[in-house]
Amino acid sequence: MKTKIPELRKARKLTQEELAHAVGTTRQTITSIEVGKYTASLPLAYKIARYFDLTIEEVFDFSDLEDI
Amino acid sequence: MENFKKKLIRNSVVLGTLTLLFIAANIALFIFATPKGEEFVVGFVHGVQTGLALVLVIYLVVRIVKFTSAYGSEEKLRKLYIEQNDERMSLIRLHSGSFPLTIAVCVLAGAAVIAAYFNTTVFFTLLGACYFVSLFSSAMKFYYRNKF
Repeated sequence: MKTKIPELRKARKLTQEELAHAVGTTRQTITSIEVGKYTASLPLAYKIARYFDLTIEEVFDFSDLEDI
Repeated sequence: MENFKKKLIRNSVVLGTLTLLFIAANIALFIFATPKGEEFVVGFVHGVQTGLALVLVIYLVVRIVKFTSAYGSEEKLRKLYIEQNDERMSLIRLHSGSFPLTIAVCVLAGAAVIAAYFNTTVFFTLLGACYFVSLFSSAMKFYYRNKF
């Protein structure tokens, strides 16, 4: 899943470590989310979106989700 | 965080007790029991026992020190909490079967040590099985760390 986290981080001059510390996860998890290897759980997605004062839909790109 | 602190204390006490019990059991085995077989086999078995004991004791002591040092600092406590509860690592552990495979390795190693006092063929077989299960477990962890 694509995300806007790298751009949002760079706009606020945040490192992955600082963002990870702020939302209560590890730097490796943030890296995996940014490269699309790992999809964040709902609580973590909410924490990240809340940290940037945005909604989940504004941070995470759901356009690739398949319609059943 | 208070519950986590209590959990840390409880884990430190359990690990400390296990370490002491393990050292005592190992010393008792060395003094009171002799593995069956030739001199080379007896030496090999004692070597394996010593190696396993050393690795386990060092691992347990490092964990105890990590837990007790984290208890004194809020920042270290938070870091340890995040490390233990990180969702990606939990998913990796779940997919790689980390917990059951670790139990399997420990049981095989323990059985190998006990078997050494009865039949050396069984000892070497169990040791080989323990080794291959460890390799498999490491391979699974490596694969899922790269996948997620």
